[in-house]
Amino acid sequence: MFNIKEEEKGVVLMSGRLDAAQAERAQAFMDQVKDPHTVDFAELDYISSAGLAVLLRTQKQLMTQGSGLRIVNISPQIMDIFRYSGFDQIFQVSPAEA
Amino acid sequence: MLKKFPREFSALSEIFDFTEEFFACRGLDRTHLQRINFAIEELFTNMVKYNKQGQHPIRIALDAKDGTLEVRISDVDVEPFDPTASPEVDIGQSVEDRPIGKLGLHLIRRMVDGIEYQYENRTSTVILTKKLE
Repeated sequence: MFNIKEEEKGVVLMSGRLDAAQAERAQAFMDQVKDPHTVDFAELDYISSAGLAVLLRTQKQLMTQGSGLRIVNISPQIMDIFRYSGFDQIFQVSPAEA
Repeated sequence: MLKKFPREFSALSEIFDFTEEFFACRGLDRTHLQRINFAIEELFTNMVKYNKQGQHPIRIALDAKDGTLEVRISDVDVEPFDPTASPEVDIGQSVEDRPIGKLGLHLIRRMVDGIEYQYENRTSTVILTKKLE
């Protein structure tokens, strides 16, 4: 189960599991959001490398326009994945509060 | 526990149900579940993407003994494809230079304790091991 919605202007909330079966839908959604600036992971349980690719592709597009994504409420397990992949250096990140 | 899965990405939710059921049956620590699912997803989707000639379902076998979980993912009647031979990713590259993708194996190596590839009788098998203590 994966859900993605624009919670408020430019703030995207992802929930459930972002895996390879959902990555295409997630990318299509991100591509149509106007000026996205924040992705909220508060309800995201799982992300695979296919999900990371969605974030990286979006970030590359945004950086050509001089902006970028902030990813907030990242669970400790997903934070590990971000560190192992260097994504904590590519995005502004804030972990979930304990 | 052994189960066969159709070679399509939509089988992933069924795979996650399978690992969850195995962990529940064996009373294993669920904190390892996400890393195991991550590793299995990467290897399964690699087989779906790169073993194009494969016609058969992909088999996943789970076993836990002596505090170690073993996962065997097998694809029968395919050409050899060794995912463990993929090079390390430079995670220090700038956003502009970072390739999209290629991260899967780099991350699996950090999620599990062992990864091994076997090719025998036209069957590719990747064996993952993870200490559960």
